Amino acid sequence: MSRADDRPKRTLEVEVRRTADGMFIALGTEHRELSDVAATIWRLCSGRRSAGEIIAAVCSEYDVEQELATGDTLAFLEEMAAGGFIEWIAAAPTQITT
Amino acid sequence: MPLPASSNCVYLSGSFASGMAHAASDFDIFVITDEPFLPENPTGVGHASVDPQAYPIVIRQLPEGRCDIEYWQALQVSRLIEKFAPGNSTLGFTIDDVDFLYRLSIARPLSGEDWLREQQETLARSEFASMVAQRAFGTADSLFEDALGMLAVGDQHSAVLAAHEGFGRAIDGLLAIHRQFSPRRKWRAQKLMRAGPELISLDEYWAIETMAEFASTAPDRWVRDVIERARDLMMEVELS
Repeated sequence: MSRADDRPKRTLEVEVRRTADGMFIALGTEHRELSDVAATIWRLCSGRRSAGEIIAAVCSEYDVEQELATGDTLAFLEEMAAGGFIEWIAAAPTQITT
Repeated sequence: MPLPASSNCVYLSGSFASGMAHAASDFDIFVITDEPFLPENPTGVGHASVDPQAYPIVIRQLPEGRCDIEYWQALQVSRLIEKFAPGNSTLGFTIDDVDFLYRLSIARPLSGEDWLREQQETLARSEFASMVAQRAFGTADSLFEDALGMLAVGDQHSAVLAAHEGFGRAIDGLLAIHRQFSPRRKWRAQKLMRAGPELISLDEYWAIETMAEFASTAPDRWVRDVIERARDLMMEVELS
């Protein structure tokens, strides 16, 4: 089980605004302006998709290498989690039947 | 109906202008003049948020129904619209400002069509829609923050009410972008039907507005679901 199996979910406390200039998120006194790619990732953090599925979506939409997309996406998600903007929902452990 | 000798415009607004009138609806008439006009035996005086503040009001019971007439000066109207000009976002505005300009936006001229069209076009070019939406979203954010705080201390009743009101404000913001400005809650469903936004269906909105899926055994779940849905909506509305 790796981080890519976990599902990132936006925390309810985060305020979001979208303008012609981009997407902005705020949590308490912390603010972030999201790049186009970051906004795409942010939108996908619904708690229903795994990080791996989000990486695949980024690769598809922006035509980037899997390795690069994986590193950048996971780094962004970990930064968001550290700031309290998202939370991780752990993947359910795989049932092994004997 | 008491009228001045000359006027810039006389217009009909409210539910008759918006097409939402019913048998008990009032006729809302606005008379716009360059100089102050004081009708005989005014019923009352309203107060605008701009100078000059006062405007006379006359209420008459006509055979066709109640008629509310407000007498505004053209200067008051232009100053209200000016509040929403690009770059004026720090001037602030009141719910009465929004209500007056909403009524102006849907008005039908009884006389002075050119004046009315010019004001409506100026308003349409302004930041009115975006500023009203931003105000609504800001209020929604505050209510959601309250709701989550209330849940944290076990006050589920207040949290439910705060989340419900916050969701309504989020819808109001969405509708403002679709140029449905009436600040009155009773028209929210009608406005949604008219706007037909892609972001939420009437059925989904109505289920939340009427709390159709609320379970008294798990109010916190409803609060969180409603906040999450509203946040998702607000995230997709582009403000200027």
